[in-house]
Amino acid sequence: MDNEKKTLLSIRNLKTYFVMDEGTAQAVDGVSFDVREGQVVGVVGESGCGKSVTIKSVLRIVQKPGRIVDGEILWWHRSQDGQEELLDLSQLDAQGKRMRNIRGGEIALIPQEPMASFSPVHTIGSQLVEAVRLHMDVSKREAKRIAIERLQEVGMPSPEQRLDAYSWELSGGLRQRAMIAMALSCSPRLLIADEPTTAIDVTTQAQVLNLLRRLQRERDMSIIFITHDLGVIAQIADFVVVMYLGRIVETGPVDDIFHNPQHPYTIALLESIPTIHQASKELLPTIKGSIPHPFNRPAGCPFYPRCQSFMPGICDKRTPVLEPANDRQSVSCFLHHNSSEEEGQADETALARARAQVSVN
Amino acid sequence: MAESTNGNKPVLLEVNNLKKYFPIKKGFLKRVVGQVRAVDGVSFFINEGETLGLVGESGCGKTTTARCILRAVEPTAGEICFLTDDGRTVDIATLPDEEMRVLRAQIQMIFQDPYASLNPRHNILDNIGEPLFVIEQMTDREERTERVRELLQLVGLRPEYMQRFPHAFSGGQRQRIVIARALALNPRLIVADEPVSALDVSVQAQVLNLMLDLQRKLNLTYLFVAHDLSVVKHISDRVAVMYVGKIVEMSPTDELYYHPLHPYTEALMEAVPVADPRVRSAMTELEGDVPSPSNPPSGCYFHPRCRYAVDICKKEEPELIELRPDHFVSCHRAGELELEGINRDNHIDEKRIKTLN
Repeated sequence: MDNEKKTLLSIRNLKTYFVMDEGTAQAVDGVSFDVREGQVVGVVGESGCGKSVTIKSVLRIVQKPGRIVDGEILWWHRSQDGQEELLDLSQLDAQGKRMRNIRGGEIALIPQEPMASFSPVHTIGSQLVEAVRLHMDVSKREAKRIAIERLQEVGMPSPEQRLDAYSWELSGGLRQRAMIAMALSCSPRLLIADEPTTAIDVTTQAQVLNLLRRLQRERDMSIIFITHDLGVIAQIADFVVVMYLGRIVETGPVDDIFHNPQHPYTIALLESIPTIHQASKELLPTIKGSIPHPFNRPAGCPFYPRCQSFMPGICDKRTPVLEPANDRQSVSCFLHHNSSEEEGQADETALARARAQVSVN
Repeated sequence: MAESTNGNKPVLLEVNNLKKYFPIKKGFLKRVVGQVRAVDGVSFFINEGETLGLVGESGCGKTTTARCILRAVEPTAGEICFLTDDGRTVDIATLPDEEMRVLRAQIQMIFQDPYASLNPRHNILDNIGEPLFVIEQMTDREERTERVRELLQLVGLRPEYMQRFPHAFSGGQRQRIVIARALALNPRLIVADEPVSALDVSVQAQVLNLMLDLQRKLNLTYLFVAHDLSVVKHISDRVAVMYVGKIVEMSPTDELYYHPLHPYTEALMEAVPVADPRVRSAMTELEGDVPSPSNPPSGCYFHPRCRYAVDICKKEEPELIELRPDHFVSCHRAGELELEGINRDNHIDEKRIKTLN
């Protein structure tokens, strides 16, 4: 079904590096995925996997010394008279007029901490009106009407009065709703939600997730949903991208990722998370070790030092690329294919032997 | 699990009607105009060798409760009875400072943020060795080094690392160091305040396993404060649910998760997103927000958000009663309501069992 929908955003081989005196952090190292119209793409990964830097690159708000060093961010731009145009966001001037129109207008962001994202000295209303008037040529009164309408849409009780409230007067849940109203103020085609439920309680989280699901259905909007919570991903995403140390390790439809994971990291991650359905007081299976520091990335596959299926001489020598493992999922792992970044292919017989050994273990 | 709650084990900590009010001061004269009832009559007990999980939304007073037990904040009223290692029962709430100082060796705390709870200017040896020096008067450096070596091995870190400074360690390793420091004085009760919520998901499991393992080895008792229901279920023998400064329900873990008696517990269970795309239920929302502890509603504090509320809930405050053996609940309608816990049949579960075999 998704294949018939038009692509809205296509990230191709994106590389965003932070070049510092101490070394270079390859925060995003060759990430490629597409977002189609009306699709909810979930990006999962632990801290330092590059999920936030990826979306900051899309919005062109990566902070110095971060820089997009390679790759394309293709965006199917639609102007107000309905004209379509293909833009490469990585080539635009980050402070330029075109990028400013797209940012907030066509691609909106719900940041992680609503407390830190609202100005404490301006009312919610003035900030909403400002956002609307920045992207739409409307009068102040009209902008205020739109602001009230958006607040109503996100289920804010008595929206007219809330316009005069300051962000610190609202509770966590209402503040996050106001943030969503602000992101929706200009009817974006793509909404990026960066861990929107991490800082809030589970009951409020349910409210926010239900709200996002409803808005997505009503507006047929695309969402990139970033989180480390697999429960949230399972509930909201159509398509899942799993990242580890700046690279994509696996992509696929949400059902396949949860019920038929292919990459050893995805499998281990799903097993190691305590779920509410598990028997208590039992030891969890764990992923050994911890995430390496970005300056000491292991050579070859970044996951090999922690991997259960490590194949010596293969995984630590060459870096796998993302290739289809079946007709729905793509994996970057030598257990599934033999394509690496380096030129030339490894000896197939040696690889087959190594794979056989791993399955014996 | 059942054997840990069979009642043969002595009660290590019993908290009775604990209260902590923070005054709200206003104006030039700083007159007290109101009170934040952070902890408002909390009672619970922990048997020796078991883990009590304390859950609730932010602002419900779970951290303040934990801090009162260590007298990091002075309780306003109530009793905190602790069974010391020489068999006496003392009331921590009224203990003179000098005795409390000695007693603190038996009650240690693990904090949420491992980045903020280690002194960055001390190496690991000094960080872990400090309580040995201060409380146990272990002035001999060799002796202290030997003990730190043992402790590091106990928490699964290499003893060679003890000369390094905290910045050289990852979050999970730092939390291990914090645990080693907490264990330095051979405590009997460990109060863990959100010990894994600042950690990465793949590291959370390691730290939880370590805590379970240490409990078995050293017969430790935990008070485990957290907001994550899955983590609490994983580590606890019994669970207490807090709402606006009060305990609303307390029972053995499985009983609470599968057969809750309080509507708030039911709502919490329903709000947890199921990690399975095939079980895409509409997560039932709890309407409204947590009331302010400075101005709580009348009667049962939960009644404005409760879908089962009747007249009596608005007028009278329910008592915490033992409705079933070892299952305490404070709700006027408990027992007559048929509440749903979490659903036992789940696809992920079956798969998990398969992969574990």
